[in-house]
Amino acid sequence: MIGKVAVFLVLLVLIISMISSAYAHWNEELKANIKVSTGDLNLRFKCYKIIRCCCCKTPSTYHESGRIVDGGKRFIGEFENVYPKWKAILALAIENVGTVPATLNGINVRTHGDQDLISTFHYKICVLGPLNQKLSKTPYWTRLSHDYLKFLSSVCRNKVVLDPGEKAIVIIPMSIGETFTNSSSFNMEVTFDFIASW
Amino acid sequence: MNKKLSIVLIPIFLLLLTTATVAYAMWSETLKINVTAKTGELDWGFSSTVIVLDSCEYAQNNDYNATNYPDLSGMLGVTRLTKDVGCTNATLIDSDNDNDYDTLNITIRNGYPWYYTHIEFFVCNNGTIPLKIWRLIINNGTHELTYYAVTGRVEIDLTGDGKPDVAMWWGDNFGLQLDPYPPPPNRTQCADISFDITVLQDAPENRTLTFLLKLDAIQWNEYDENVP
Repeated sequence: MIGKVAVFLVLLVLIISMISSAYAHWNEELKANIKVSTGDLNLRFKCYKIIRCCCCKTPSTYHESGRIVDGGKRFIGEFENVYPKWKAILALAIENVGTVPATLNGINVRTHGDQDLISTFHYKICVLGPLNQKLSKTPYWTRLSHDYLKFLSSVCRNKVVLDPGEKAIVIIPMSIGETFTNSSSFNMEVTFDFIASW
Repeated sequence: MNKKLSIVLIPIFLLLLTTATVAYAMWSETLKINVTAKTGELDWGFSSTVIVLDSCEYAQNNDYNATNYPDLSGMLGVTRLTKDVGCTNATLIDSDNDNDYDTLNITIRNGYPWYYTHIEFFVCNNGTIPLKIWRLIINNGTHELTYYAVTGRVEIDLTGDGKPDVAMWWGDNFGLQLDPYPPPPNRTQCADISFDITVLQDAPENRTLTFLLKLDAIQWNEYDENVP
């Protein structure tokens, strides 16, 4: 047994020696370390405000609220006991919090609630931007009112390209028709579509 | 007794020794051959010049976008964008302090799908024997892929999901012979190598992906036998 092992080892050494000499050559290596850091494509709702029309007295049972959820990707509004001729403006600020430009190319509004109410619910969408100053210094945000809407229609855009740090304001004027005679509640959900393109 | 015997033996011994010396006395001369095998050196390195298309060193250096795969003619299929979003840095390092740049660190910052950059550098024979640019080894962290005489596109998966994250295009100087300085007429000591990098759609967001390129040179007379 020991003899066989010895013969095997000798053969192994011989084979390795032969292979080594077959590959004998000089070579030298240069290295290139490549690091690719990818950017972050990320828009989010930053804040919102709801402006009710002051043309008529609000019933005491009326209540409105909103919240931004899903890490800024979705806005949910709840409107309780809305009434005929109800009007409000929902304004949402969207900010590019990523590191690459993004095109805001769609605003999606979904409503849930009383079907009679929903059938008379109307809204429009106006997107303003890009804005690179603080919202508190933007008249589109600070001076937003029902009277101000008519001045905005000429500057609304279908697509807005937002560089990192820039903002867009989404203005959604909403109304309930006169034909709706009850008082009921509805919820709305607002999301947005964006792509890494400019 | 012993003393007398010694006195007799010593002169006899001296006489015998003298006789023997005379028997071996002759002229001789030795010629010597000193063999010195001084081996050469296979040594190459990056020259100090690296050209980067979208360098981070320049502000407002608008990006290039490979809206589709560029063909082998170079820039065709690449358009310049109107924004400066990503950029590329290249740094040469002499890692073993032998006065050769042996490592090139390339960093793409804030890349995104179809971000395109081009890196051009020069390699020189700094040794004493001719060499040939032999092969490229790409190490993506899990595998080593070896390419000989590479030209055209190489796609690399850096995340292990089976989908390529970056694509490279290589020039055609593999197999070129580089001679020691001074090179003979119509020969060269240095060569230009360049490649493009494009970030592909499947590259993940907000990540740092790394890979290593190894460029091998081989002694010129062993090249043909070591290329499949």
